[in-house]
Amino acid sequence: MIRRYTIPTDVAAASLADGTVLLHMGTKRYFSLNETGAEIWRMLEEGVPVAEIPGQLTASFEVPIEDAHVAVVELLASLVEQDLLAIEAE
Amino acid sequence: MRMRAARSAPVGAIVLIEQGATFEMAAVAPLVALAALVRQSPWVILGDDYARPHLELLRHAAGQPVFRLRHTRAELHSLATLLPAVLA
Repeated sequence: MIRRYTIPTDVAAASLADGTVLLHMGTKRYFSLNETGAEIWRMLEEGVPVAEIPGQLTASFEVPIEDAHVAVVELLASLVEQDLLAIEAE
Repeated sequence: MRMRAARSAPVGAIVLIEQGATFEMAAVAPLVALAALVRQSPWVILGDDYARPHLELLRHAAGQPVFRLRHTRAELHSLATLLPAVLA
C-alpha cells in the first residue's frame, strides 16, 4: 500500500526565507517550521512523491540520507497528528 | 485649532513591545516575527475568507525590519520618546 499525503484545504501557509508558518483554520492553531521543515512542506505542496523527498533534502542541506529520511518521517507524523496533513492510501 | 490632515507613511520598522526585568532591544528573525504577529492578530476571529489574505499581509509585514523591545516599568511611560532614539 502506497501512502499519499495531501494538504487539507483549511490549512494556510506563509513562507519566509527562514521558515514557514502554518495556520489550521479549523482548529485556529498555528505552527512554525524551520528551514528544513519549510523545504519539506514546499515539496509536499508541489506534490513531490514522499519517497523522493529525503533525496532532494540531501541535495539542499548536505546531510546524510539517513538523517534526511528520519527528518521527513518525523515531520510527516507530526503534521498528520496536528491535522495539517492527511493520508490517502492508494 | 485646526486639525492636522491624516497622512500615510511607509512602514519603517515593527516593534514588538513587552514588559520585562531589563531594558533591551534586539532584531527579530522573520519567522519569529511572523509567529509573533500571528499570535497577536485577530485572525482567529475572522471568517475563513479573511484568514488567508490576513496571513499574507502578516507575512509581508514580517519581511520588514522587526525588533523586540523589552522594557521595565520605569520606561513604560517614556517609550514614545525612547523608540525614535533606539531605532535611529
